[in-house]
Amino acid sequence: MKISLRSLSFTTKMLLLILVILICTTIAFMLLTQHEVEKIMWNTVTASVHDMRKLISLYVDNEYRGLLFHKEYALNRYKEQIKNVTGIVISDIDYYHSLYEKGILSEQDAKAFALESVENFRYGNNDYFYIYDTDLTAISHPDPNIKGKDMTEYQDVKGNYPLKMIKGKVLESGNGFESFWYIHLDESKPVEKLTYNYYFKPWNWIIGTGVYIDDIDKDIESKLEEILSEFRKTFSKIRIGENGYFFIFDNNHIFLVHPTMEGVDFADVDIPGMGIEHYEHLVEASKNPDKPYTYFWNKPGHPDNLNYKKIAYVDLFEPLDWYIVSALYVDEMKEPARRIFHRELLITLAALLIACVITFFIVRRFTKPVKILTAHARQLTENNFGTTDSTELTHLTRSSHDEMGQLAETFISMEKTLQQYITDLKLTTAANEKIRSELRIAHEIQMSMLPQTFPAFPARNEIDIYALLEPAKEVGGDLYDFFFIDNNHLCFLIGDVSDKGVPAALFMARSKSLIRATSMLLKKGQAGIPSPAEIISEVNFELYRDNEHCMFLTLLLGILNVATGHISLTNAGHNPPYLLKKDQIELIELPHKTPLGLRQNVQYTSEEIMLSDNQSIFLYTDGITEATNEKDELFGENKLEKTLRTQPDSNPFTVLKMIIKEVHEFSGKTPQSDDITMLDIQYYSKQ
Amino acid sequence: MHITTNKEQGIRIISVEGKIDSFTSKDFQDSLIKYILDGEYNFLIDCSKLVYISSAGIRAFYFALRELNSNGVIALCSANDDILHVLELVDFHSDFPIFNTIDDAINELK
Repeated sequence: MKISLRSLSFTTKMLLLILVILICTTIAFMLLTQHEVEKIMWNTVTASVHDMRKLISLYVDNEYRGLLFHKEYALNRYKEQIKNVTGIVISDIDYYHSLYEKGILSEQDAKAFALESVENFRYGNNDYFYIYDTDLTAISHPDPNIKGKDMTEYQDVKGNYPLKMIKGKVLESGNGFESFWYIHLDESKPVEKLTYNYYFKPWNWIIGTGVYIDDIDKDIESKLEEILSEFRKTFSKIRIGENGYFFIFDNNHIFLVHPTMEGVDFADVDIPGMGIEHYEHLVEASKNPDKPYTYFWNKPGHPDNLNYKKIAYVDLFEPLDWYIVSALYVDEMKEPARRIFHRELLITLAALLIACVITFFIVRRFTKPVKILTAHARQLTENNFGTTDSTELTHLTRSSHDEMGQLAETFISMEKTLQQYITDLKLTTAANEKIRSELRIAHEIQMSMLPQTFPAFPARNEIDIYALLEPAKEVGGDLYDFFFIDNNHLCFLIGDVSDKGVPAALFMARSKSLIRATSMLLKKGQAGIPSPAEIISEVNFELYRDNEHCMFLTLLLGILNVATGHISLTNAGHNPPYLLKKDQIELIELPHKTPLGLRQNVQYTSEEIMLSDNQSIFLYTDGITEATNEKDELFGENKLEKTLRTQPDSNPFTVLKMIIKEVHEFSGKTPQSDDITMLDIQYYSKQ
Repeated sequence: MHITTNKEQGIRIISVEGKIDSFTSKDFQDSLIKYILDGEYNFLIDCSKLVYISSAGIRAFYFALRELNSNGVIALCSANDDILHVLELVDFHSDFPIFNTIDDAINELK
């Protein structure tokens, strides 16, 4: 079944409309909110990530500072220690030198005692003192390979000339610290030896001692390891979003801190794109620490799925060459927004559902009166506007006083009026139908009174008669007639009763009968043929009597002697006739006289004319000349004459048919307003 | 049809505009009869704006004339040629004086 929008009920349409509006609004609202919420949430998450990054940087920096402090402290302790010990040795040497100065010892002995004392002095981890002269020859040194040798050109593993540096420093400031680097036999890494040197000026001796301070570095390293393990503990607890985490790797591409890959070298990661390449990308990213770097990696709990999109911020901690990476999962960052969106969607859907239900009931309530009205109207039509059950409608007028109630009231009153109107209409229609049928019968009777059989006188070869009456839609009052008064005398007439309608028709019928009767009576009374004037005068007298409404008849009446072609003719207010000759037409001018029925005494006169062989006399009513066309123009005498002239050799039948055809063509669709009547009598002499 | 009327020098002048035919002749007739019943007897129908008169119109004139019962006159003036032609056919001037202009008519009737 095909459902079109038009076939839906009003309720459904309203519901649909409201639903569409609600849904559109909701969708628009949701889309806007979602976008906004996502943005806000994203900003919130990134802001918190930045805060955490800052915190971690501070933390790492702090730890590093602690380390530096620790290192400095350890070094200072060493420095103080060796400086103090050196002080003791120097005071020994000073003592022997003072003995020489006091003259108790010779300078030789004093130096020998001092040297012996220094050579025998040991402290700490069997640490010793050495003495060089200002030419950098080792005067005292526990190593026999060095003692007595010039060490000016000695280089340490880093390529420095430590003794030159020591000499420079002590000659300038009397004492000072200097470091140089050794490689122990069983180790590959060079270790630092911190020395303190003192310039004993009286004898030009450079006295110094050194301690290996690699234990400081070892200590620092173990401290660093402690810090890292602290980081691991701390970082493992920090989550960005649900599963995002921090990790640290160093410039040797080793993961120092990582929830799953601690200690792993990037180079050993056997996943395409995630080895050294990934390392290099991250290092590159550290140059723009606030610009997120995007890549795909797995997620804790889903180690085999490498399709999680991540963004990472890489911060380089330069003092240690550590790269601290804050890595988060994009889907998790969007998660809060999505959760809010889902909750919103659920609430909105619920609201929509409630709105629908409410709307449904409201619309149904609103449309219920319309439904009642519709049902009532249908009932009314089905019952052919007869009696209907108005209980519901009446109830409606009482229950609601709004437009619907008023409509119902109007409906009830309209229904009553309508029913009354229908009843009246039925009566009127019946009455009209009766009148119309009576009029039709009247018209038919009227027509049947006129001679309509042609040829009218088949036995008469002297004349050819044709007549035609084309009635207007309304009953009119035209008439024509022809009859023989005696064997040779043909009485013919054409007339037009004033106005139209049944009175005109009755007047016409009466006139027609009167004319025939009068003609015959006069003939009998006079024992001869009466003149047309006598007949008309007599008929006028009769018609004038009791003519309260001033009906009148224009009449043209003639009597033709078929033996001679002589015509007596009287005109009572009618259009003058034409004489049709073979090659011309002639208007027969007659004195105009008052039509019949208007005045009691009118002196009508008869005029005499002659018809020759093949000539005819043409009579007509103003239905011809006053026929109008669409422009309201009249057919007129001119057109009539013109048409008559075009038919020189024709008989009455063809002449009349020709004219009626012309009139029809002229009128077109304009309705005929008056009867059209013509009569044509053609005369053939006996010769 | 539209009728306007005024009285001048004892003559009720009735100007008819449009057509006097089957549909309008009754109105025309009624307005004439009304003045006759009011006792007026000198009538001049100004036909300058009359375009057509049918037999029903002619009947109305005769009806009014009979109502006057020879105690007055109904004259016409300023009729166009078509109307004059129709009136001539029925020998109208035997019963109703016909003038060329309204002034001629007033001069003659007053």
